[in-house]
Amino acid sequence: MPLNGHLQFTFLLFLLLCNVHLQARVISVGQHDGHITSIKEAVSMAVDGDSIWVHSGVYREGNIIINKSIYLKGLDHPCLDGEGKYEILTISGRDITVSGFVFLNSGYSSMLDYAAIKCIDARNITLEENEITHAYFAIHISNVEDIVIRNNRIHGNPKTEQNTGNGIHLWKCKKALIDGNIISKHRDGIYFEFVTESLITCNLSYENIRYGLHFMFSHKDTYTYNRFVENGAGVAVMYSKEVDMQANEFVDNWGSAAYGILLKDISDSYIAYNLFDQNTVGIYMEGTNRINIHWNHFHKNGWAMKVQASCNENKIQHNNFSGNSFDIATNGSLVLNSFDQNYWDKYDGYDRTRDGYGDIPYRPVSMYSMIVEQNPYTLILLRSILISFLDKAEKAIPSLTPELLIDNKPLIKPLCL
Amino acid sequence: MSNTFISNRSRWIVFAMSLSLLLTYFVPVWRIDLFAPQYPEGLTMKIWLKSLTGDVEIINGLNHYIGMRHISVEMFPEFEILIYIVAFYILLGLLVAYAGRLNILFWYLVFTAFGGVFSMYDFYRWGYEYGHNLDPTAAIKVPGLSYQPPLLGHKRLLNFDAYSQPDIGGWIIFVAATIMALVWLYEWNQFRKKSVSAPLTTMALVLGLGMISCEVKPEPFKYGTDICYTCKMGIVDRKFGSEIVTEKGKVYKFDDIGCMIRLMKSGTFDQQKLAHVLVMDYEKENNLLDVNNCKFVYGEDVRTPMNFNTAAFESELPANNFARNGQDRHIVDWKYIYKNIE
Repeated sequence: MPLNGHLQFTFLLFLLLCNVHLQARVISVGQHDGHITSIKEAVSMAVDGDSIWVHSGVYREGNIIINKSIYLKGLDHPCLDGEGKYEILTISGRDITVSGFVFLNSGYSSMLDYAAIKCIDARNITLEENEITHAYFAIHISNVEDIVIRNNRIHGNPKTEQNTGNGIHLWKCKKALIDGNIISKHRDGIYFEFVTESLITCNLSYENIRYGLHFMFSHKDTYTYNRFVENGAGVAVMYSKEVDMQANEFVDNWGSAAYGILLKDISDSYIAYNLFDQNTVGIYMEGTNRINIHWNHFHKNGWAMKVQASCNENKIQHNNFSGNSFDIATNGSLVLNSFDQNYWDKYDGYDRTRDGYGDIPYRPVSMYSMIVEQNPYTLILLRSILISFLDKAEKAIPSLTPELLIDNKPLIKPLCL
Repeated sequence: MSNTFISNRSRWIVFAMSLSLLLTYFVPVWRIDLFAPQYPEGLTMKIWLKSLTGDVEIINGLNHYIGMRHISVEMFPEFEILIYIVAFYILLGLLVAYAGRLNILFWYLVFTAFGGVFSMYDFYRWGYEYGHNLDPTAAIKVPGLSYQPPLLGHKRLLNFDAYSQPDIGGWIIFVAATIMALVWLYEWNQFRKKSVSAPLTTMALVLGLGMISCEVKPEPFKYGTDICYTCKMGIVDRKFGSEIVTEKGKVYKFDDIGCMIRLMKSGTFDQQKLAHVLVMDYEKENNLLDVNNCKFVYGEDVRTPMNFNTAAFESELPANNFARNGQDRHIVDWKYIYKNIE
């Protein structure tokens, strides 16, 4: 009996593991054992609901097209080689899963958006546990609803890096989940254009040529718990509405035009619990309205924030600003944003009332930052005696700095974030 | 706005100008003159801070015929408070002179301008009501005609020529305000020169060095480094892009032709002063083409970085080939694109 029970348990486990695929056939593909040696052949044999298990080996089959509801599973990391000529996998249809493959050397074309995995006009697609190296575009998705892209490792070609496409590229999609991917050396790590109601979480995007993450015309999306490190220009969120940006880390985005986040024409969004560490500019805002920026930590950035005059009704509250060369810079004198109750390490007032707030207001815009804004070349004078003198004088008698850009209740102690 | 002090001389001028407003208590502020053949010497109504004088009774007599209301001091609640308002301004002016701050002077001037505008509005409102609210039983009725006096200057009412203008008091107020505005302008200019001169010199030096290398010619794109001037995106797509070079040699780069047109339409440039307006060749890397000598293809599926969906080609042939390669692509010219992108 105990043996029987053990078997039963194994069977049950098998049932659980296979769940939906139980009724369907499993087609095995292997170059050393088995009858079928080509994935293309297996795909042509398969019907909706079948699984194709691909054993390890290198498969050079040019462009494989999948338009049936199948589960394409790689066992022991089989490698699909595009030989630098082909788009490797083209997916269209519904209920398709691709997991466990290594994609190598997909083709490059300056005219066509070749990708290692391209997905067009589809529904309910899952791409997981794949490794994609040296692709032009790695994963290119257009017009797809319900897509999961999880735990993929995507690494562009450092040699042709100036010519590379995006790591994960989504165009006109809905309800996407981008979870746990690692992306590097591409144009934009993750690119969203016309993508709505989606979640980007727990990804690491680093050393990409342009942005770690790029939003264009994409509304009602959330990105949380991602790390964006050493990208050309950080993260760009443009022409979008209702984007929720929480608990991300923006680290080491250095360069003349680099940002932690670049906000351009975006409204009604939320930026909270993020860390901006050692970026040229933590947050750059232009044409940005009604954004709440709360509970973030700005640490050792060139500028913690650059707020252009075209920004209205943004609330910057309860943030820590420490070790930044400039806390806030702006290019206008009209201020329609509020900057209350933040912690500024440059604040040198006292709290005699002991309510946790400084007795005199803090002006986060230094005179020098106004001068630099008008003429970037003067940055040479950073940390010179002349500048510290000017800033001290400006503190005593404000003249160039916008009078209303002021924190009336600066915090005495930093917030625990 | 500066919070610096103004010079003592300026403070004395502000002081004197404020006091000069005291004169308005003793002279008329505004006058309305009426001329007509039957009154060749004219009828005059003088408005003081707290009363009306002149030929008011004769004017009232005339007004009776056309159904206008009787003009009397009691009609105007303004006469009750005007003297206090002027006193308030004088006091405020003295305080400004005492404080001697540049920005306080500025706000005082704004406040004065506001007061001036408001009083003119009040005067207009009174004139409107007075000229329109006519007695329906009047002896002379001219359908569709109102007798609103002019706000400032001349107007013909029936056979009367009506003139409305400031009297001595009004001129005093005007001159005082102008002088104080000039004082502010002068002080502000002084301040600007003084406080920014050190960094300005550095700026000028550095700028000067930068200028030497400027030439009026197109500049190739540095992909991965250049930023679109309009949308701030890094420029990486080699197929699309555009560039403006001004007559002074300043170069603006864009990732999409639409970004360039948007900037051109925003009025940032004088269109006549652009040396080059260029677009990137779709087929050849970093080949900039003059917008007037190239072919454009527009199509929904062209997909440019900013979705203006237009590609540029050197000549007819490649443009035709490209247009045939997609759905619903059209060959268009620069004028069309410029007109249609907003």
